[in-house]
Amino acid sequence: MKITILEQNGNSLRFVLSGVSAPFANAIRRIIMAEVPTMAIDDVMMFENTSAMFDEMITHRLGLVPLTTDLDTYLLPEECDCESEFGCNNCRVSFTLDVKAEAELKMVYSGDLIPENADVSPAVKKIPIVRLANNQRLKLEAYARLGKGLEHAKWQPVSASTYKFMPIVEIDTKKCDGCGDCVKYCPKNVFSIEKLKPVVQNEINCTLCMECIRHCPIEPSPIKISHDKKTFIFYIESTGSMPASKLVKEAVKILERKTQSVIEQYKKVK
Amino acid sequence: MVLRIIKKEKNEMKIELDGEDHTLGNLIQHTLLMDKDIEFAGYDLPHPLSRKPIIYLRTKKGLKVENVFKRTLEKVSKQANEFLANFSKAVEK
Repeated sequence: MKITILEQNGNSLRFVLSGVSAPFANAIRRIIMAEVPTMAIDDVMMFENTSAMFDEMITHRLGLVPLTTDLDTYLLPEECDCESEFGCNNCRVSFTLDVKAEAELKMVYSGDLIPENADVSPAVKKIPIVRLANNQRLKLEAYARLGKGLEHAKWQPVSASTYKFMPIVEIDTKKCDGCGDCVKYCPKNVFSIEKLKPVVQNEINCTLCMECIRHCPIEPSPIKISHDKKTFIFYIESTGSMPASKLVKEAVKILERKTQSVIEQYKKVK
Repeated sequence: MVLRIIKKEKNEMKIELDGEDHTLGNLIQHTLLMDKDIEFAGYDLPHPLSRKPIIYLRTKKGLKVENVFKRTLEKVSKQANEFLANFSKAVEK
């Protein structure tokens, strides 16, 4: 198994994983999307809402605000031993919001949510919630808890969690007449011209669309496109709750915990 | 997660993993098929909302089924640990 990081900036991560089966790569992709816990607002107490939007709409919008998550301090409500309907300090974080528009129109942003613990705060401060007209007021208290993406998309820690097979593009230079159509039609700029013949320049960008072969005047085409079934190019884009690399690590830990629990249960049942 | 053995005979077994889905089902099926003692392995999710995949495995004639399942899961767990170690190293670089 070999892992190489291609690109890591801000919330996104691109890496190549080779020497594993597709089901393993898929398990990691699925766990990142559906089973890595994140914080999201789940309960809202409205004190005053004189805005044009219904309480439910505002609550829904608040729920979708991505929150920075600290997995070491907080527990999932089902794993917490408080067993309280409202949660305790180990499984719930509260936010307050109080915005009033005086003489002018005022936009309420996600950044107006004041957290009780600064470790859990809106990942992006400039998400519009509702616009208030003069003298309108929004006052509420919101409770966030950890949850999983399989319950509701607001608990999904990623906006993109994808992989593709590693493309293999080959050109038989003996049969190629150098017309350059493949260079012209390739949407991903995989080819370039060198000494009047096309050469593969960005193999990794190929999406296996076969456009080059479709436009190639020679039949059968000297271009051969295939993919390596054991090498994957992953692309993970976090919503800001955690760095993308942390998400991958958490996902593998969850997979490991799952298999261990199956082994234990199997020993017991057997 | 609750594991139930639905059917068990000399060389075949049916296991239900209550609370799992395709994530683990497909991974276990694939790893089972890679095992040299396995004649047939498959998994099924009888209903998409129930999250109860059923894994079926059958070993080649005369071979006992008991240890194959455990061995398979240990392989998965080993692979996960290897991934975590390699990934941490790659990120630090």
